[in-house]
Amino acid sequence: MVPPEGFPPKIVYGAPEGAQAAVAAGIHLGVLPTTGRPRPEEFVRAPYFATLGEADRGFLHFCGIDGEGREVYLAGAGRAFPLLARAIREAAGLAGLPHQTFHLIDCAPVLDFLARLGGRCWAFFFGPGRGRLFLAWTLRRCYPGLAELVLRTGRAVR
Amino acid sequence: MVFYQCFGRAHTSVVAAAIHLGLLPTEEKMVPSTAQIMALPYFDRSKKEDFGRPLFLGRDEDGHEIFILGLGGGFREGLGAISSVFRLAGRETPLIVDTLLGLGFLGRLGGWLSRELGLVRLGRPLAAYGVKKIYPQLVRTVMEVKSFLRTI
Repeated sequence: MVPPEGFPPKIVYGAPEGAQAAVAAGIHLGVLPTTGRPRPEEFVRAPYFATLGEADRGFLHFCGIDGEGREVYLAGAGRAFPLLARAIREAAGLAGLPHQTFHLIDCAPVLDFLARLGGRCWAFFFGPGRGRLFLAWTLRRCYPGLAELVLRTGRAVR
Repeated sequence: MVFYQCFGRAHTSVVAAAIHLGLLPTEEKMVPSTAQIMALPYFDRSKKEDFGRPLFLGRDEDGHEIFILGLGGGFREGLGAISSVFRLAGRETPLIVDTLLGLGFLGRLGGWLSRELGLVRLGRPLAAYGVKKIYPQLVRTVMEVKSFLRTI
């Protein structure tokens, strides 16, 4: 997907694996519900869900535009989210983007042990394009936390 | 725009940028002394908070902006993030040059002692010695960068 011209606010969801950030982006864009827990097969509606591997880490993937005109991106961050956030802010300044362009949201704090372990196992045993249901199953338990994080982000970024 | 990258933007990136900017000799055989390396501004000076934060050191003779950058253990993530932001801004992606590859055990140990443990008096000369050992390799890297920049 190609982002539109100009510099509207850009919300970037980062998580150890791109798939975990994809779920947050999917909730933000309304393709996944904000309440309850979707069935594992519904998770595949999230943009880039289980399609990004280690080689894609750090790159910002455009997922869509929300109802308020904000661009939503995701990034796999491994264990380097603070560094990723700093690099994005610094690079934005050097590239001449307005200071408040990027809003960086770390999804890691709301991921539970199962989600973290699941993400690592998925990357090790399956990889991009495979094991979608397994990955979705590991994310079900912490889904309400992700939804809450997205709702808070939506309210905070105006 | 050129970013010389190493683990903590404290040692090899500083020396490579200094070679690029003409602050150190550009001939492989003219290896500077440990004292000369330690006297470089920003050599063995960065902190952990500087990871991911490029530092502008100057412009070369062709007008290219030269930065140093440390990406810690997140080289891939930082590289992707910086490239993506420049692409989104419609700007040319900076050339990010990894200068860490050749640094041996002593250089890494010196950097770790100084930056991680705060044993500067022990670590800094050791890091400078380690960088001195790979100086010819750093010169070759910088020369390759310069000739590449002239082709674009």
